Amino acid sequence: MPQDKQLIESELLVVRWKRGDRDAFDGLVKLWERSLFYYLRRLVNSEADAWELLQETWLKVLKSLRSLRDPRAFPAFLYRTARNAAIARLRRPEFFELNAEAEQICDDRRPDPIADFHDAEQIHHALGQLPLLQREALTLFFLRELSLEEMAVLLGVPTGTVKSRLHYAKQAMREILCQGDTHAKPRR
Amino acid sequence: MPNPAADLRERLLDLQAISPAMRDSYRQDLDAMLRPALKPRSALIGTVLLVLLMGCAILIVRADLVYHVRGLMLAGHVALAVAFVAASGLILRDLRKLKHSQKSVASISGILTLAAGVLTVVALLIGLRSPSDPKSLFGAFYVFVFYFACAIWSIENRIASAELASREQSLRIEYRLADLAERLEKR
Repeated sequence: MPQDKQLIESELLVVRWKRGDRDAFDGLVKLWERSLFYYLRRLVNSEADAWELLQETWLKVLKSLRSLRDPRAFPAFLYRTARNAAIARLRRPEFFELNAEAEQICDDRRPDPIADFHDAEQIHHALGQLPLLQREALTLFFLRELSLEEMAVLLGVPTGTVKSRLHYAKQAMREILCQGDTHAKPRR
Repeated sequence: MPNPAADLRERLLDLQAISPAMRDSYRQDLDAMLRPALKPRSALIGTVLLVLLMGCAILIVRADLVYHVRGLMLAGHVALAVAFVAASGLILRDLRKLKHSQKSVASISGILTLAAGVLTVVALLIGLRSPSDPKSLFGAFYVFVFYFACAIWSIENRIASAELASREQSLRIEYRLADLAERLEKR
């Protein structure tokens, strides 16, 4: 489904839910389930954990959706809820040591970075070999559901840091793809 | 026009291996957890309101029967009692369906405002009949305060409801346009 259409449908479902249509929430679950699961699966080691986190995310979303003032902000709200659930579950130090690594600001201004990556299967496997923070940023980039600004808010870093993280992540991915070692054990 | 980024995204999502057993278990758990949708706090507030409104309606009817209320006063009391019963019915319907509906809140505020409006007119007419009686002045004042509070609540609800309704309509149009554009692209 094209992104614009998905975003409009998402906003429409949030508005319908706010107007009292209970089925609209089921629609939201169906609309975002796949990509949210993909994102969560990149953050946790096991599939069972990802399903549990997904379930937890939907429950939290249901509890706090009424407080969401702008239905257009639903994707960012959803990913933030999922990420917070994952952080609470994982307690991974990487999430809290922001800017601790050598994250030099590097503005990636190439017009279409996606053009560098064609083979979905290779990307899918290579994502698993990236360090957690780079993997997360690149997953969000490939899912194309959040703007850079929204990603920055979600990850709790400035937009410049998101750009540099994406730059280094793409660089690392290119190296992995060049090595052709795409089926190695994922680095966690 | 083909969209490589969207295509890549779809292919990535398709590549995600999923255990059908885990997915089914997740869906069952999610279905069970998402219903009932009514929070305990909302259910408690609804129940308290239901009891209060029904209690008030019964007391009004009892007062009319015991004190043989007639004329304008009876009309005002009937309007209020009917409004309380109608509002109770809407609350009861939501409680039975285990949902908190914005439409019901808007309807309840509208019904109570209407009843308060009728009551205000009745109080003013009674006041006109006996302008020297301080009771009629105080009666009209209290009823007007009630009407004012109901009106503010009702207007706020109507604005919120109208905003959501117009947003929904414009989004439906936008969605149809996006759908049409997608179909044209495919051709």
